[in-house]
Amino acid sequence: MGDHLARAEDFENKAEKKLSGWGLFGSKFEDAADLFDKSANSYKLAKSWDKAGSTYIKLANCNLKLESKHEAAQAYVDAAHCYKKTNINESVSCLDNAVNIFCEIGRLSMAARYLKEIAELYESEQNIEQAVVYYEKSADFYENEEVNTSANQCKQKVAQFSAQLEQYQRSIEIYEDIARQSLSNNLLKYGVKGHLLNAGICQLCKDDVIAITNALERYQDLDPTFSGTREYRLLADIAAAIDEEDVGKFTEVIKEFDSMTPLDSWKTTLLLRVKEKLKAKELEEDDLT
Amino acid sequence: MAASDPNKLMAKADKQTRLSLTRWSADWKSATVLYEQAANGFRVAKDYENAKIAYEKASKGQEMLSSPWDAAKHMESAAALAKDLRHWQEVVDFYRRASELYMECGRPQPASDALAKGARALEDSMSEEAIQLYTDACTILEDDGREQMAFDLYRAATNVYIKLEKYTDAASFMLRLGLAADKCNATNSQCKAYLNAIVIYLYAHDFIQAEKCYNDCSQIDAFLRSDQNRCASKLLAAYRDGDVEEIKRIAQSSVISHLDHVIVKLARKLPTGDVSALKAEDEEEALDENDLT
Repeated sequence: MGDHLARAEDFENKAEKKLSGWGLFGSKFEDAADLFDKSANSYKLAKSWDKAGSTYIKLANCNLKLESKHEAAQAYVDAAHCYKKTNINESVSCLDNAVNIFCEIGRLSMAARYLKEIAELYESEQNIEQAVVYYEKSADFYENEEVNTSANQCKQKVAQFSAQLEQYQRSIEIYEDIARQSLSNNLLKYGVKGHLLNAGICQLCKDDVIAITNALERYQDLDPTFSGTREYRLLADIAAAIDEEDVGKFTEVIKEFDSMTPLDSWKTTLLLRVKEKLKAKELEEDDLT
Repeated sequence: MAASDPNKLMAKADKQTRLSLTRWSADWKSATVLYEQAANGFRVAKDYENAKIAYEKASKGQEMLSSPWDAAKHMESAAALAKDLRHWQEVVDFYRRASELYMECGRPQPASDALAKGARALEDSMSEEAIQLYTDACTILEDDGREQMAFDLYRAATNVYIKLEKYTDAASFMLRLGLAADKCNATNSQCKAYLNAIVIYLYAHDFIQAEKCYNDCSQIDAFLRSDQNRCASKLLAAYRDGDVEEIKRIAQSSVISHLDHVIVKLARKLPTGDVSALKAEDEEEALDENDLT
């Protein structure tokens, strides 16, 4: 380990010396870039992540001087991957730089990929608001490049987090849009009921029985097979339970569905919100009597 | 920043393609690079109108440099921007041009894909044109012996025809899918296509054509032994008997549910006309046969 560290420092010092010396036609930047690359690799082997990251940034600067923008962007990405282990903010900053360069050179699909990576970093830090911003940007870029599968993955993340942030209408629109797109694809059409279930659960969270009923009619019109699914049954039964303000029935319906298709944590969280509202209503009724 | 100002890049590129006293031939190589950079700059700045123009010029440049593949790529980019700007006629023209350029470099698959992208973009705004693009996209793949790659295009075209209520054309396209599926032994798709066609005819209340279609398709061994055949047979029998309840029951069956969602929608609305009239006609024919006078 110490051996790698010593080599890394040696390469870095040589690179710095190259930069401060004289060079012909930018050759000093080429030589320095080569040495910074070796240095960064050695730092990585020594698991000295911060130093590796800062060295990759120096490499990126050399590549920018050489007008090698693609290599510069890649160096920023490498720096970000090193910082990811120790300093999330630095990692995000490096990825942001990489994205800007990829945009400049027209590699929008690469930019989209790293915007998604930034979003994932924010997600891992529980910074949901920022994650949503970057997932949206990524989806936008992927859509421009007509990479619809990746765009939809990012949109689903936006929908998921928007619902967590109680922006239900936004979630509903995304899930319905993805369902609509999936219908015309023979491979994706079997996932439509899942998207419509997610949209339906968001409708339930809005606490408007008429809106739920209208939505279910709309979903039937969108996908005629939906009315025969357990997902439709679940939504319809929950809507009925809410209408009747019957917490017992609500719980029973969900328990029955969960016994066959376990609900994930996202659905459980939202359905708990619905249940809390329903309980509150029931208590209000009791207070009035 | 000045160096990468897309407007300046465009102006510089235009200069290099114009002939003057000092420039006797256009420098397309340098100009094309500049057009590409400008297009990119405009696109990132969300100035789609100028980005589209720059991509068009970049495409022209790549053509002049005998690089039809890159020219086609730029044309597709211009088309995508025209779509965002809702310039529908340009969408048609650009995707068609991209397709021609792909064909120029002997790449039928991307040529077909380009037309299909155009068709998808135009489904709502210029449905007739969308159908034409889908048809041409299918033809390219058929000519290249890649029918299997065209299945989704046949379905998409059928959906547009149904939206336009051109049911006979929709059914014809489904039969065309059946033929393509037959060529590449895709039995399941073939049988579904035939059942789709029969459902479409029934929805259009053309029982005679539906029955004729069923009889023709039953000449094919694969269809004769399929679940789709049994379903079609029951459906037509229910029509002959004027049994509305049975028609509705069959329309809810799993065989129908596994068809394309647009067709399922039609099936769930069956019967669309008066089926008792069909039964009356049937009885009259039976009487005629036994009439000895």
